[in-house]
Amino acid sequence: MEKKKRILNLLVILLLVSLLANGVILYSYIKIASPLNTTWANATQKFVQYVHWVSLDVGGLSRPPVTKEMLQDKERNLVLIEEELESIEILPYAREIAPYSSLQKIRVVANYQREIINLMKTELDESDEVSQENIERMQVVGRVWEGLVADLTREENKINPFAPVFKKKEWQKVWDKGVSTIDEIELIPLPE
Amino acid sequence: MKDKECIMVEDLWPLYIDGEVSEETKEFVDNHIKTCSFCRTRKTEDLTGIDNLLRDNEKLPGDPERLIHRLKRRVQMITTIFLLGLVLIAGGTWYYGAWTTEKEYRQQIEREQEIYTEQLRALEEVSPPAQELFKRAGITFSKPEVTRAGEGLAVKYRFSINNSSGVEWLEEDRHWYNEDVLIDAQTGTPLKMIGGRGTGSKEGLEKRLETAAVSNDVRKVILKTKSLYAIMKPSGDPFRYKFAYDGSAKTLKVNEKYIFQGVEFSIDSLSLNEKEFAVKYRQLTPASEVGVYQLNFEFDDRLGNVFSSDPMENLVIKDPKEFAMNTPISPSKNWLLKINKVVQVIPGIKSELTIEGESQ
Repeated sequence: MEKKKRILNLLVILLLVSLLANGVILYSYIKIASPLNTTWANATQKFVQYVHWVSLDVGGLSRPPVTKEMLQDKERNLVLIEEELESIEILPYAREIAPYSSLQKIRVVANYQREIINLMKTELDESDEVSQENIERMQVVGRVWEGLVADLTREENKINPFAPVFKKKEWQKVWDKGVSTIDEIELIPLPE
Repeated sequence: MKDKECIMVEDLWPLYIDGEVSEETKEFVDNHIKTCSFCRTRKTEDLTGIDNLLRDNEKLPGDPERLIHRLKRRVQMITTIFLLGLVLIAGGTWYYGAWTTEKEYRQQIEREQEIYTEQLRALEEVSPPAQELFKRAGITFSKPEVTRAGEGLAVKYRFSINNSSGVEWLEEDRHWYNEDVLIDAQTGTPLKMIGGRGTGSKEGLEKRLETAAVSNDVRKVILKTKSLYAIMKPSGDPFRYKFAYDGSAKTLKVNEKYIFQGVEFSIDSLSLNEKEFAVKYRQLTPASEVGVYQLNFEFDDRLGNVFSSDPMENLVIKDPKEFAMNTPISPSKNWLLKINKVVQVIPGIKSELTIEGESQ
């Protein structure tokens, strides 16, 4: 009888230790997972904000007059986008969530817009006016950026940034959907 | 001696053992046992038997201690088998993995080496000698100098690009299995090389080689250099081919001609898929007249990005030749195929050299 009791006590202690260990593991996981979600949420929001800034006045570029200041402002925002992409690249699980190919596509669009800005600057230097072709190119880029902002924001809103579990798949979806917008819109080629 | 009392005690014995006799009967049995040696012996035997039986009963199935003991043994056995199995599987996997990886790696290297050696052989067969090609490309080859350096030999040679030449850059073959070779001219034995440095530049290519200790009997050596790549800018009518690509795999017929310094090429087709962009082309002017040329293409996404690959990456001798590179990452749907560089492949040179300062 006494032996039975001793064994039972041992089992109870084992169970308690196991529960404690599991609790510690779960706590550590939550402790890591939660900041990961907030990190990705912050980075995505920051990126969305810069993309939103660069997309402003682009759609209706023909209405407000295109000035060198406006173009310089856009160039600065493009730099911010590129810097944010560099930050995203080194976030944990970045290779799975926002792979190099996705980020590269965004960079290509940013480069493309910079090329258009350069063309517009040259035109402004020569005739104080920008060509309709370049305005159209800029409008198409604007649509790409707007689409990117809309998709990233919509998908990102579905994720609770304080979730105790790291939502890797959901974050993957956010970036996949966002970048797929770029493929949907055909950019107008630059002049040869 | 068995008497009446003994028979009575024998009758009472089962009840006595079970303790179901009165005090008087117990006293009678005890007194009898004290005096009768026969019954005393029997009682001792019976009681030992009962003790053993009781001990056995304790270990009957269903007894917790026995169960735990058996469980422990089983757990120990299962754990040992499991751990042993785990070690065996892990060890086996590691050994097999390492072995196959190394084996596959070696096989792959051997395959590559074989293909490359075959390509070099083909180059030497179809191409005019290097000296003729140097004249054509505007390259001067300075006669190599061989001197004794310590116990070994030091060899120095140089290819210079003439000002009038269209060659932008001269680079030697980078494959480690296509090294410069130095042979003892008398015995035909290859000398052991211990070092080699080459510096390619816009001025040309300078190379220094060193051998391990060499006997003083060696007076003459044969030097066989690596093959060379003369990289040139495309000239004449720029080649441009516009195409659309939406990410789905397709092959396009190009069928365009391109002429570079009198050498005619036909750009036949373009294969596009999510992994690779490849161009199939042919050199129409025979290699036996002008040497072997390779075209290096670039893909312009028309969004301000141009994608290309190293012109030295692949040696292509026979027609149809293929230029291939990883599919560029760009959202563009309108592309432009251009020629980035024209590369002339010059076979290595074989020269017989006398060690300087020594009579022949």
